[in-house]
Amino acid sequence: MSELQRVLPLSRSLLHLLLALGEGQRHGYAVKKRVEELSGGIVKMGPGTLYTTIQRGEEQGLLRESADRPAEADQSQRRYYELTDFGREALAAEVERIGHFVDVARAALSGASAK
Amino acid sequence: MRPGSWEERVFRLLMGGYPRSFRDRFGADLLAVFREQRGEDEYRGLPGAMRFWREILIDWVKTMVMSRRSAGGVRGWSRIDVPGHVSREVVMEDLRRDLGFAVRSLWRAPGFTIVAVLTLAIGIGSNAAIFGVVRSVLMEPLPYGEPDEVVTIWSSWVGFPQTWVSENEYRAYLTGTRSFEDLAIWNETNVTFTDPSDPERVLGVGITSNMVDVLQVEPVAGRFFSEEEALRADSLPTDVIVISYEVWQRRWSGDPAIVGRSVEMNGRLREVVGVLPAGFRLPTQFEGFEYADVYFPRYVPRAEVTDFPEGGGSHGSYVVGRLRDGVDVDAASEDLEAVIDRLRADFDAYPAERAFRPIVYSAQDDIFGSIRPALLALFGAVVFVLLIACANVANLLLARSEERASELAVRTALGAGRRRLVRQLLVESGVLAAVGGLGGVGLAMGAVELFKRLNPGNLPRVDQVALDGGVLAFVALVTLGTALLFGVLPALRATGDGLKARMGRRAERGFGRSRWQGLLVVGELALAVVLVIGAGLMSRTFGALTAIDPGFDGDRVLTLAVSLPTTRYPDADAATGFFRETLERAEALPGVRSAAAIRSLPLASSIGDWGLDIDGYDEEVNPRAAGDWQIASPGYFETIGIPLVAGRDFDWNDDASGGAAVIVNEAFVRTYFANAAPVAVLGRTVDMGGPGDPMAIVGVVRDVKHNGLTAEIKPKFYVPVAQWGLVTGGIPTSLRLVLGTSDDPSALVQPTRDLVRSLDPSLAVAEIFTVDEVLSAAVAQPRFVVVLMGIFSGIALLLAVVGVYGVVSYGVGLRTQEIGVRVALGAAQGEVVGLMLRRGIGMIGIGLGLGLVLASGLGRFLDSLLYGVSSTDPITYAAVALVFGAVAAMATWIPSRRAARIDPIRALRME
Repeated sequence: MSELQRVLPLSRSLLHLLLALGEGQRHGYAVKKRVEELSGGIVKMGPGTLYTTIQRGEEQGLLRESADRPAEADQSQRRYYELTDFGREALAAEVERIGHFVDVARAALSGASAK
Repeated sequence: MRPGSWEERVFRLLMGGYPRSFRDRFGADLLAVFREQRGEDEYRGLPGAMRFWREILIDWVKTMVMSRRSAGGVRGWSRIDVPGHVSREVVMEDLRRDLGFAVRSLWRAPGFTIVAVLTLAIGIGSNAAIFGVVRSVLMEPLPYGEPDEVVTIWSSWVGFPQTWVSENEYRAYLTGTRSFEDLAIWNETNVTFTDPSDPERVLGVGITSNMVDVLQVEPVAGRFFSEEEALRADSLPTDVIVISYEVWQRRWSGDPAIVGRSVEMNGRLREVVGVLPAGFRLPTQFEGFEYADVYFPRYVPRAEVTDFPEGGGSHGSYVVGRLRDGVDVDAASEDLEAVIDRLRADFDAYPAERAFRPIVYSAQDDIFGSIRPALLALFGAVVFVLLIACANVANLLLARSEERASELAVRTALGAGRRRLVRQLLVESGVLAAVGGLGGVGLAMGAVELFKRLNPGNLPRVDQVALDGGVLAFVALVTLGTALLFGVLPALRATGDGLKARMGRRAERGFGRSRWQGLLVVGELALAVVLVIGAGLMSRTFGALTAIDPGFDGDRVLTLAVSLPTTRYPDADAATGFFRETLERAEALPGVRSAAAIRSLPLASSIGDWGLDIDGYDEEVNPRAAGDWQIASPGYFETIGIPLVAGRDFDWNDDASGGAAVIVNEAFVRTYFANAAPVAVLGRTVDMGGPGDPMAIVGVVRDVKHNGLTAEIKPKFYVPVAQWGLVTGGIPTSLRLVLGTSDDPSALVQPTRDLVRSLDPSLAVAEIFTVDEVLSAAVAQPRFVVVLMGIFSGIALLLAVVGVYGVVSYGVGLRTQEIGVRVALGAAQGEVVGLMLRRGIGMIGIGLGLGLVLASGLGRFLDSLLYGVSSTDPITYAAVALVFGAVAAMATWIPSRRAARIDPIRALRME
């Protein structure tokens, strides 16, 4: 648990990136596109943001470069990334944390509007 | 997007901003994502491209910081140099680290950093300001095509070192020389826009139509007038005029419809046919604030006169020429002299005793010749200030490098090479200089404002001084040079031999360094001495000039110029009537003690002479008689405080009905009446050669300085305004009102304006100033130099003294232990202080001596600026030596005394 506390809460970019990789291994540009989709275009990842976030995720042990690449992989040079078990754990914990926050926030808002 | 396109190259360049480790790992991926993103539909077209690059740049800035934070790893100075080839990336990476390290290390020593930055800011700022002025005043080309070919032509004869040219001479030069492509001639006259709703008096010139070719200038709107129009000027119903850009903006708000419009000038309609470019000035109109706003045609036939007058005719015109290719000023000058020699032979003109001579100046020299020495002297002064500032900062760095000896030693031990350390120290110097440079730019902005405020009236184009790109480039260059100048020596010393040996051994440090420090201080002392001597000489000059008695008294006297158009004042009676009425009404204004009028106000405008026949003066044996001519109203002498030496002042009875009267000055009596007593010349006659009778001398007045405080006083005569028509047949149209007031003169500006307009709504008063302002403007240039020299030498003195103080103080600290031993062994306090003083006094002595020698060598550059004092004036030198020695000795004495108070026990415990 203390390991998790070290990496949580996740930054917005990192959260979205882990989410995209949670669906399966992806190469950089695909991650970027998926993140933009997932966030409804709100989170934009330029090349710099994308790879500094990937680097941070790697350093924190949340993700790693895939050892074997998916069968449909097209351009041979691209690197694919996938979540580690720790990354999966952290993502789940973060989503849990956010869910809890949302519950509290909703209660607070409805409480405020019920007044 | 093609690989290798410019966009990709830009992105690769940006990628250089990321840490190397990051680039090594992700470089190819970054580029791949960049390419794919660029290809997305939403970034199509120009707006798309702009959005794309905005996003990329924002992304880059944000992530450069982030990548740095998370890159972790070894940073700062513990990096070990790799011998052999070093790639550009490594150098950039190192530079980034050095920069970061330099900033942190300077931040940790705020005292040192603030002093060093301030010192540099003063040095760089003063240089930037003076360079800005020198650039726009001296280095900007004149507003003419091929300005190097433009020359001005003047006449010179006994008593007139540089004066006007006559139209006869112009015609002779035009037809008799081969040196010039062409010559243009003009004369100045005051004209009034006589539109009753807004009358304005401005300077006009009547000029030949070839001006545009001689000066190679193109009107910005419309055209210049033609020779044909100049020839027919008198027969045309409306004259054509060309106006200045400035008056076009001021009076007509730059209305493009001005071309072709008729405007009322001097009571007649004139058609505006063109507008000259902004900033255009005739070569004689750069000094002072008055330049022509109106150009009207003057016609001069291109044929030599057949009957040449003895003196060459009336000298009242300016001539400008353009040299033919390959002709220089000297050749042109010889060409003109040959013309004069021919006229001498053919017409018996130009008697030898008058020593008539034509002069040719390049327009550049003519315009800037008088101000150049002052500006260059000031430029020299600020360079000295910068050098002194560099020496001081170098000293600070030397002291600091001593404190950092152990840090540097540790880094060497960890494997940092000397080159690496020198580079690190130089980067620190660079950061200091850059911050100093920024501060300097700020200071320079303020200084330029001060400059404009102090503006001596004759500094050409000072209004155009600005800190533009050129000046900023200069600052950048100076900053870089400065960083090297003060940084290299300390960096080499700090990393020199035996650095490792120094670790933990403090006792033997600093001997070599203190020798360098001593040399630097001696150098800056010498430079400061030179500056202080320069300032001393200039203030002696200023003192000598202000001590000159101009011969009149300007206390609370207001003056304003009025010009009457001859269309409305067609004869002398009408003009006289106007002035008499104006003066009588002005005297009735509350606060006016007396009111008078004069043609040319002393020290405010130049005056020339008029040939005379004088009763009892024999021209067979003497030079031809001439006197500077004035037109004066009754009460002028009293109003402006010129004492009457003999006889009486004019009154209004000296008019067309009475006998012609004249008042002369003492120089007139000395020159033409063999030094007779003033009373003895009353009643003698003077003939101007006009239609009227000779004038009888009714009074003699004191001499006044007229064409300048240091100009020679020449014979002068005053003709009463009411008799000007009678004596010469002319009309006194342009006079200056002189109002003596009992209170603040400026309070009378509006009442006088109103008064003139109530008498004639189409008239305008102009050139409104007090006589005190005239007197102050007469010493404006020396004052300007003296103030700036004073500021710069004060800074130099302060910096040099701080330098001495620092070195001595440092020496005391260094020898604390030794002093402790001496005191413990029974040395007296005086002995100890003397020991410390000796070194300081030695430096001061050498610096002072060097400075005095240097100053006597450089003094000749100031010669042309000095008046009443020699550039090797012993009094100035002695005073400077004394003051300087005393101040510097104080700076030595204070830290030396500390040595005497050292407690031997504590001193010995220090190690």
